Amino acid sequence: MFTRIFFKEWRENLVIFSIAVLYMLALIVLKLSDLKELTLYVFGMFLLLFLPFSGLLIGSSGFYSEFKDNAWIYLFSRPIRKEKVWIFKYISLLSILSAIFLIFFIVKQFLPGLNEIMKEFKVPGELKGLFSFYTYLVLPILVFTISFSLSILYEKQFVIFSISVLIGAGLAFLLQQYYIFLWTTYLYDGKLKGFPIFIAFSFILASILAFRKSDFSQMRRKIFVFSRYLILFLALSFALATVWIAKADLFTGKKEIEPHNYREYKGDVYLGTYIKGFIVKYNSGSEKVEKVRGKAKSIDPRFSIGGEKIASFIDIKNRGRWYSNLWVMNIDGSHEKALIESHKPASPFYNLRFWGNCILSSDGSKVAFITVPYTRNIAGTSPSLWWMNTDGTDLNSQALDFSRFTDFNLLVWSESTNSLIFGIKEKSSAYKIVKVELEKGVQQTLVESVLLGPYLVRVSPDNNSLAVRFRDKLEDKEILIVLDLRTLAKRVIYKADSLKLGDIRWSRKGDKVAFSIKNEILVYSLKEDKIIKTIPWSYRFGSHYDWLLNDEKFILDDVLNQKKYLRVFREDFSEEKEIKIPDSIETPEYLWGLANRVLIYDAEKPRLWRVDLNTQKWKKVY
Amino acid sequence: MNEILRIENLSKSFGKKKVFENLDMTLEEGKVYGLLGKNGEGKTTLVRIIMGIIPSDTGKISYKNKKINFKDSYYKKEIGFIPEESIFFGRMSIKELLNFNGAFYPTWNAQKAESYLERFSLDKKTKIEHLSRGMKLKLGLIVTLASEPKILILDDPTSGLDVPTRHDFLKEIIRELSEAGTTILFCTHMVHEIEGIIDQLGILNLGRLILDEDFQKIKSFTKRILLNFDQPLKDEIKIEGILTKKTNGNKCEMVVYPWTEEKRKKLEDLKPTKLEAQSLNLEEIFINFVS
Repeated sequence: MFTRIFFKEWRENLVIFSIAVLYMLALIVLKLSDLKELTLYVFGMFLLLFLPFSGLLIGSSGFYSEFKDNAWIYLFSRPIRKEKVWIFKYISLLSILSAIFLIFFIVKQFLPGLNEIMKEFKVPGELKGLFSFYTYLVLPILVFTISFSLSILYEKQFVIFSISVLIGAGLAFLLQQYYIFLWTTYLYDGKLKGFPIFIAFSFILASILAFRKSDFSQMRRKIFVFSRYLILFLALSFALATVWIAKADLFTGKKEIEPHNYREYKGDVYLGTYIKGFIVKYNSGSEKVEKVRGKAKSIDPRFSIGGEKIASFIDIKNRGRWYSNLWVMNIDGSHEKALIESHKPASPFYNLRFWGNCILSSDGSKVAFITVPYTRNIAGTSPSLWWMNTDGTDLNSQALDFSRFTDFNLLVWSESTNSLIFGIKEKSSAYKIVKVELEKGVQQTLVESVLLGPYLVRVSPDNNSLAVRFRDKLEDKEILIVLDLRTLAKRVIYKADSLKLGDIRWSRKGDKVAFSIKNEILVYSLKEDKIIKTIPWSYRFGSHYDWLLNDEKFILDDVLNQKKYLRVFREDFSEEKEIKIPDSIETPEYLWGLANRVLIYDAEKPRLWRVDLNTQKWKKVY
Repeated sequence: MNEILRIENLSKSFGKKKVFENLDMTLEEGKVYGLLGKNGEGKTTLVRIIMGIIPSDTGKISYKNKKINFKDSYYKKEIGFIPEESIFFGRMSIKELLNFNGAFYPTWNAQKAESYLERFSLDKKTKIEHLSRGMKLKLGLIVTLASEPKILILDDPTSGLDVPTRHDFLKEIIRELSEAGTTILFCTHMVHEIEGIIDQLGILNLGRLILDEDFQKIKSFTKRILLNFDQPLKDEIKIEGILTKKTNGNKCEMVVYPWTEEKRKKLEDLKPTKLEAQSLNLEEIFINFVS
């Protein structure tokens, strides 16, 4: 029976399909005939509009012929369940839309420029995040489903088409409000990519039930039945989505982790997540990735670990404005509390904006952060450095003399000197490393012309030294130094005209620094004041080497004969073994040595894998 | 005879308007049931409920002693349905429709469809939207007959048809089906259409089935009684089952159902100068019942 309905629907919609095919063929022909960029753009935009338009048109035609010819009586009096008729028709019409998609994707192969145009496709407001990536696929299917579901209600296709557009716009508004609600209630901070499926299913179920149960000879009654189910299912969808998001810690393992902003603490690795903004921990004991942070969220998990505490900024939107609030919790996520809630008008931070990150003292008793006035244009404004106890007492601040700043990043709380070290970038100049003495208020620039900003500055395990790269303008060379924060002595580690510097890793004891220059990994010993080992290596972006077992071993991942290997070195840097990295780890990008295990982040999937150096067994842990 | 379709306590309203209430009806296997009713009495609604096209408000329908629900479809394999209006997809050709329809029925008889096409002189390539009203009826008949139904439900199918087509349809096809043992429910307001065809008669009036009997029995027991007296009657004539009554001086004319010997004796006790019982045709029966 399905086949008959399938072909019937195809016959009835052949005109729309043919127009779609001809349009796209015309596009290829025009491209082959050296189409000008602007024309391609215009055609491309039309094409992108054409897809949801096709979805609407095909969907709204759903039961048009059944109404027009009274054929609903025919279908309903045949020995076939009504819901089957609905589903068969839906699948048949969806196949037409899918065929148009297929041709669209084929056209895309001929017109690579179309991808660029697609990126330009705009969806208003907050929905941009929801739809941008999926727009050309999800939106047409969603509007198709909505209009098809509605097509059981009324015979005039144009009316169904128009109502679908109106309902679509209404839902967009509703979703936007929902999205804001989620933000303001700390429930959510990511993209509701799956939510259109909930909406589509609400319409599908409401339509099928109305189709199956309601009296087709009474339009008002049918609309009433449909609306009742639709409201019920939409409400259920929103409720389920809310519960799902609220309980999202169950799904932590499915969120994309953000390895660049990692912290190692007591043998565990703490990472932020892109989508939910949770902080997750690779627990080396249980070998599981666990969620640490409770309800607090942030897109960019700017967090700091010190003592047994975690401090983090959490962004929320309130009355159309974004605020960052400062939260502190124990290392296990317990006793989470907001130290600063800047979105509350009574807060002294209501008219301030938090900039960059926050940083905890090594014992976790104090936290520091930077604010700027909340203005549209920060040029000329004066940033302030703040610090306070993590129990919420003793709030202090100091104005910073950097009115031309464009970026800040707090690097370390140096308790030995009672000072805070941060990287700052001022307009038209490179980053510099600055020290602020908290009691005296003295600000001192330690290093100028820092390359790649503070993001490749590495703090030694004892918080007393920094490994930092800068350009010496007099010598016109790039220099990697270790800066002693107590004496401010600079020890030159490496100097070259231009460094293709990869990551910098301090040894666990803090007496060595490993760094990569082009296709070599070099190990510098602070005791011997020289490079003690040079290991040929294939350069790749990321962090690919580390120490483990209290510096008894050094590990790195490498590509040898086009195969990926984990290379293990002894304390004297003689090579102990090579462990083949499974092919399923496509792009190792970050690596951490944890006791006798190594944790690898595969950026392709993304996934976390660990290998036991003794058994050489790999396990996917995330 | 076995009952094939039973309707019990069926009620249906559209908004505040009650179409019918507590309707009971039974179709017996192999019989032709004529359901008469004026326009708007709910014949089409009843048929659509039976066919599962629209739901009833209350009541129960059983097919072969098994209750059927609104969402059920299995029983429709054995029920053919020809409504008043055309219900086929206009953009399909006859051939496409037959192929489409055949897929619904395991008992589909393509040969039978072909032979009926020939008999009715229908071209398979013709689009349905180009067919005349009579041709569409013929097509409906082919579609229904080729599925070899156990029950055929006709909802005023001949209204608006020319005389030869009606004749062809009624006298030949229905008779043919009936003789083959197909149970037929023929709903119409055109009384003369079904006279001579039906075995059982039901009359829907004001939302109730006011008559549901064997047609021959109805014909035998519905009589027009003509009475003459010497002088005008002082009292009302009181017998049960008077459908209509006209009194004019010392004359009285009434239609009685059921006309029995007992009632005759009762009237004879009134010493009429004339007592004559006349038979009625179906149209007259119908008019008297719904008046």
